[in-house]
Amino acid sequence: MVALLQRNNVKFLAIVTDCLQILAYGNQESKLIILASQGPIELVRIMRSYDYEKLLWTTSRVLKGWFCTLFDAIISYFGETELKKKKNSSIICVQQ
Amino acid sequence: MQALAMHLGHQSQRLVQNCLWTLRNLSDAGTKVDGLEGLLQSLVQLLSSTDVNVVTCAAGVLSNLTCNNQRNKVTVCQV
Repeated sequence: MVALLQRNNVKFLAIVTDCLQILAYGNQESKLIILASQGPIELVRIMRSYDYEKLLWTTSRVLKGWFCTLFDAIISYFGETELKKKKNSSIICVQQ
Repeated sequence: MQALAMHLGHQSQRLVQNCLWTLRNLSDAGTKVDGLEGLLQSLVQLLSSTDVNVVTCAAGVLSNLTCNNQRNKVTVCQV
């Protein structure tokens, strides 16, 4: 599915990104697979390259959910205690 | 972050809101990133939005980006 993000039809890309959002929603395994397939790089490329509103919106929806995933992974890896040691840090994360 | 900042002036409010949410999620890791003057300026402009959700997100991103970053603090003050 990520390979399809290299196409250049904006309406097709909007559908693909919408599918990715549905696949990734609440599914850690899917997110990791998309991540391993360089999905975020393609999504950022789309944000830089196109101006079709629906495509930008669907792509931004996928991106919105990503960084909470990474945040949760960091938390589970390092543990709450280590992160509480980080002073003057403000971490605000919007959950899906 | 620049790829998201590009769209903060878009007329589509749902797009602007999604970009802001994503920036907010990213911004705690951006305190050591350079070249964010344009983004900071856009965020300060968004503080005058009539949409409270936009203002809240913009303020949250600014809060994170200025944390422990003297350069960003100066930029925001000068905007």
